Amino acid sequence: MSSIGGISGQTKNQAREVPHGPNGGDRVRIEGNFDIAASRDVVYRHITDPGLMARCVPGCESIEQISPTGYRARVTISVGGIKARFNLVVEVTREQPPGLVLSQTRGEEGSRASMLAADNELTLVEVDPATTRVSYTSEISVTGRLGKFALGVMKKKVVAMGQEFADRLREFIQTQALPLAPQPAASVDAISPATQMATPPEAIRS
Amino acid sequence: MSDALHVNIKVNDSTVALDVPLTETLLTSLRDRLQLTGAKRGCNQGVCGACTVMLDGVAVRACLSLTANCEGQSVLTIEGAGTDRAIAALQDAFIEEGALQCGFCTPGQLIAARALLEQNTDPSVEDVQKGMSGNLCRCTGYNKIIDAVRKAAQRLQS
Amino acid sequence: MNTGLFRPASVAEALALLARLPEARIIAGGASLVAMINARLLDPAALVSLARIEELKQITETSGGGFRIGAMARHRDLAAETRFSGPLAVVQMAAAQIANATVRNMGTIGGAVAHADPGLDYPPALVAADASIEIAAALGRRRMPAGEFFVDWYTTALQPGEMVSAVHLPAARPGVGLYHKFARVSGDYATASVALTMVSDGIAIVTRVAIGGCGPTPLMMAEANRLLSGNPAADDLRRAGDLLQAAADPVDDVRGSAEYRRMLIPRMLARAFDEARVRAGASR
Repeated sequence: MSSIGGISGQTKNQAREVPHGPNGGDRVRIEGNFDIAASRDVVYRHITDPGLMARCVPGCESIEQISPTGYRARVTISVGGIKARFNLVVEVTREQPPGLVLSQTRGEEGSRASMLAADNELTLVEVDPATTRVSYTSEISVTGRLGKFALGVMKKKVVAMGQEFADRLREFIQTQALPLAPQPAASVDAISPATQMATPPEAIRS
Repeated sequence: MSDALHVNIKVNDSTVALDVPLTETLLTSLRDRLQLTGAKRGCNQGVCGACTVMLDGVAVRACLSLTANCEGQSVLTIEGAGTDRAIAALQDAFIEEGALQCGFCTPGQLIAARALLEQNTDPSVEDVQKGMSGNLCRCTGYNKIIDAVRKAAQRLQS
Repeated sequence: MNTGLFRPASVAEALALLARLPEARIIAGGASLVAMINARLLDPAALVSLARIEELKQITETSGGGFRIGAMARHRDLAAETRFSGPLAVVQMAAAQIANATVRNMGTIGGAVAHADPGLDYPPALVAADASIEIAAALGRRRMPAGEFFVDWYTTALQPGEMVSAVHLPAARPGVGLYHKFARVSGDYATASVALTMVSDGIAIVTRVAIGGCGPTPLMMAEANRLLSGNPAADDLRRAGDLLQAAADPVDDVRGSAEYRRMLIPRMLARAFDEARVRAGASR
């Protein structure tokens, strides 16, 4: 039975920036891991819930499902006085319940003034039946006006966003009043109805 | 796009009335509206110095000046500096010393050099390097520009 | 009118405009703001220009021997200041190394401080000098130590509708101040910088060091200052450098990798400290 609260002995989440080559180029690789006091099945169900993902990603203003594996999201990243509103498409490329989710994010802001691309990997490992270690890596590139003029701080921002995402996710799952009712292992098509919009599938922007 | 703002400025001794958007730079107004193309758009970020002009007697970056914020001020571009004694001496020295090749940076160099000589009538090599550090040149390697500025300084003193 | 350029004649008028037009931005010298507009990072519909406000242009000595620098004081004028003696010289040295002569004719201390780019020269110098920032708000003015004013990347303690009206320097005391900057080329933003003040009043030597360009805000650590105060041994200097290096959080960008910037910190600290000691000795 997953415990609620009780976060002693967890790995502190850290998002690290891992530079590529001299000066890092336009890419940043963020990675981190953290423990959640919940079973792997429970955690997996939550991380494949786009509605919850929207609430955990800092600056996410909306998310809608556009295909069985695709989502459109609007995420605002603020740097000082600049607000960049990104239009993103997230495509889940591989799911291996209850341990792995691979996805790709592609998007732009300012009518393609900046472009963002990310390859994301999320793995869940059982520490014990009531504790799950979540590990994530994301290779992100930002080009265009933000890549040209604000790359250094943009990289810092996405690292901070990864950290905050992890904090919010863990907080939500661990402080849920009612744990989810036991269900069979989540299938690829299991989507929480609240976030499924009645829109016909559209071509995924690559 | 913002509504056009009415601005009155003096450019090279002529009073000019312009209607410009809020975010139009002085560089754009000079080049596109007034056909004063001496000032160049090299980087549009204030780094290269090719857009340097005089505003109320002070060297500024036209690319970092908003035309609407120059109401009532007086702009001097290279086109209006033909009879300026310092500019004339600098132009002669630039030609004699070979301090220009493609000429793209030259108007900005001349305006910046004039401003330097106003502050320092006998600059050393290091003074010129520091005083004109904001004007980039891709052709000359700078030494001839430094020689020309110092030559002009000597002539202006005599 | 909700759009366009506004040119108030007083701080009160400027604040009233900011209250009425929450989307409006302030333009001081324009050196940073117009560059961002040109880069299409901003597209303001309304701007409040401070160009006509006389109060903001003054640099005045305050009773007690300190200075009040109006927000619109240009880098050129601060670079030429001869009155910033002792530790306050760090501010003059920083101003003199900003960009180039032409840009120094345009840029202002208020604009720079409000922009809070980590590669700027004033922020670490003001923190090392123990300066305070005067903020004007509708409810009145308040002052805040520079170290508290810079909050995060491009983020200050300014609330919506507020503006920087001045920078205050404390009274000059015996000692030295210096600003060292490492950049790719002359006039570039700092890859890393060291602002150091050393107050030596004959009783004690108190050193303050702020590192610029190596994190979201100027980096100063009480423990490093303690190690560098008095008469530190080589070991103290090394430990102070290590502490600052470990605490730094530099960006990775074209001006330098994070690793490179961290490497610079103890080296630049050592050079700055040695020079400060020599100058402090020479001035006795």
